Amino acid sequence: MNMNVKFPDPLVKPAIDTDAVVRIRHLKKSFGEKKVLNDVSLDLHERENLVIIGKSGTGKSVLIKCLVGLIPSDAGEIEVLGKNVPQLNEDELNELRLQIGFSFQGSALYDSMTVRENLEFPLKRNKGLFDPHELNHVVMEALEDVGLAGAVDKFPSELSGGMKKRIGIARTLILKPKIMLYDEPTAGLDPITSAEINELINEVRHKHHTSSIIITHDLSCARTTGDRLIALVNGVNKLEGTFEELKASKDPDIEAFFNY
Amino acid sequence: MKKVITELASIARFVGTTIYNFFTSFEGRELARQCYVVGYRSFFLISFTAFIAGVVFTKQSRPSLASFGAESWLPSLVSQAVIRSLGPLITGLICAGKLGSNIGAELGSMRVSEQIDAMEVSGTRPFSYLVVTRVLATTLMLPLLVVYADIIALVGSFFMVSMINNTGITLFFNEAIASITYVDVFSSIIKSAFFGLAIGLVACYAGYHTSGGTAGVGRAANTSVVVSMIFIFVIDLISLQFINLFRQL
Repeated sequence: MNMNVKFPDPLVKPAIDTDAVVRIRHLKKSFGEKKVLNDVSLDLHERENLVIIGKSGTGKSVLIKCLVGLIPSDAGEIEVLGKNVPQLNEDELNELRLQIGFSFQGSALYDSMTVRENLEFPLKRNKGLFDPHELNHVVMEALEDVGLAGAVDKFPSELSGGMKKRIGIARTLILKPKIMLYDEPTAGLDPITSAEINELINEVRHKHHTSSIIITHDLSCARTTGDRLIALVNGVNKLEGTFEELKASKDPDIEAFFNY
Repeated sequence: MKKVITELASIARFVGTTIYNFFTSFEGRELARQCYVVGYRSFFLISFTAFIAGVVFTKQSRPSLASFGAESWLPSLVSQAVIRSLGPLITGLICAGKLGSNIGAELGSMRVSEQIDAMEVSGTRPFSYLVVTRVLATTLMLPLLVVYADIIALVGSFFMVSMINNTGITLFFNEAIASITYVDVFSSIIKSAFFGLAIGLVACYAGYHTSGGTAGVGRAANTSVVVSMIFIFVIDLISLQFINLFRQL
C-alpha cells in the first residue's frame, strides 16, 4: 500500500483504509500534449458517496472512464474491488465491470431498443437470462425502483431527459453492481428533476448498498448526495472534505467555484 | 508518419479481431437479425436497378449484334455480362451506398452518444455483437443478393428481347444458361462475398472509431461509402486476374 500520497491542502484527510473498494494512486492521463489527469489519488469506501467536483475539462469524466478501463491510463495504480484494472485482460475486465454500474451523462440508452429491451439486454448477454417471465419480473422491479414502470414499452426518443437518466440508472442497477459511477447525473435537467435524481442516487445507495462516485459541477447535487467531496483542479485533487469544509476553503480555485 | 502507422496498425488489429471472432464468438440471433436487415434494406433497390440494368444493357447491345447478324447471341451476351460482372458490380455498389452509409452512421452515432461505451462497461462485448455480426451478415448476404440481382437482370433483358423479337421465355433462358459455366457462377459468388466483407469491414471500422460528434457521424457514413466503393473496384480487378488465370488452366 502506498502511503506517500501528497495532498496540497491541510484540510485533506487521506483515507487509506482497508475497506476501500476503489483505490487510485498517482493516476496520470494525457491526450497528446494536454495533461488531463496529473497525479490523482483517492479512495472510495464501502457504502460511501464520494463526489468529485470541478470545472468542465478538469478530467472528472476521464477519471471514472479510466476506472472502468474505457480509457487506458498513462501511469498510476487503479485498484477496484481488489483488482488492478490496468493489468486485467479483456475477460477479467468484463467480469469486474459486471460489479460496476456506470450512469452516463447523456444516459446512453440504446435508441433502437425499447426501455424493456434496454434493460433486458445486459441480463440476456451477461446472465444468460432468457425466460420471459423472469425477465419481465426483473425488468419491472428495476423500473419500479426508479419510479418508471409505465415507460416499459416506450422508446428512448419518447422520454424526457430526467426519465432517460432514471432508465439509465435502472439499466445499470439491474446487474446488482457494488459500485455506481454517475457522470454528471443532473446535467441539463431542471432543478426539480435534478432534486429527484439526487434523491434517487441516495435511495440507490440505501436500497442496494452501493458505493458511488458522483462526478458533478452541480453544487446542489454535491451537497445532497456527497458524504465526502474531492475538488479536482487542473487534473489534481486539490482539496478533500465535506461540503461545508470545501465551501469554507480559502483556496482561490475552490472559492471561485463555490462562490460563482 | 507516426499517425499513418498507428492508423494502419489499428485497421490491421480491427480486421484481425473481426475475422478471429468469426470463429470464436457466434451471435446467432443478432446475426440472423442483421442478415434480415441487410437483405431487406437492399431488396427493393436491387430489384429495381437490376431490372433496369438488364433492360438498358439489352437495348444498347442489340444494335451492335444486329449489325453483324448475330442478334440470336443476345441472351448469351447478356447472361455472361450480367453474371460475370454487371450483377456483382451493381449489387456491390448499391450495397456500398445503402448498407455502408447505414452501418457507418448507425455505429457512429452509437459511439458519439456513448451507447457503445455503455455496452462495454456493462461487460456485454459490443465488438462481437455490433461489428462481427454486421460484417458476417454483409459477407453472407451479398452473394445471395447478387444471385437475385442476376436473375432479375436476366428477367429485365428477357422483357426487352420479347418486346422486340417476340422471343419465348424457354428459348431465351435456354440460350442464356447454356453460355454460363460453373466458373462464371462460382467466381461471381466468391467475388461478391469479398465485396460484402469489404463493405462490412470498412463501414464498421469507420462507425466504430467515430469521434467528433455529429460531424464525425457524417464523416463516418461518407468514408464508409467512398472507401467501400474503391475496394469493390479493386477487388473486381484483382478477381478478374485470378479468374482469367483459372480459365487458362
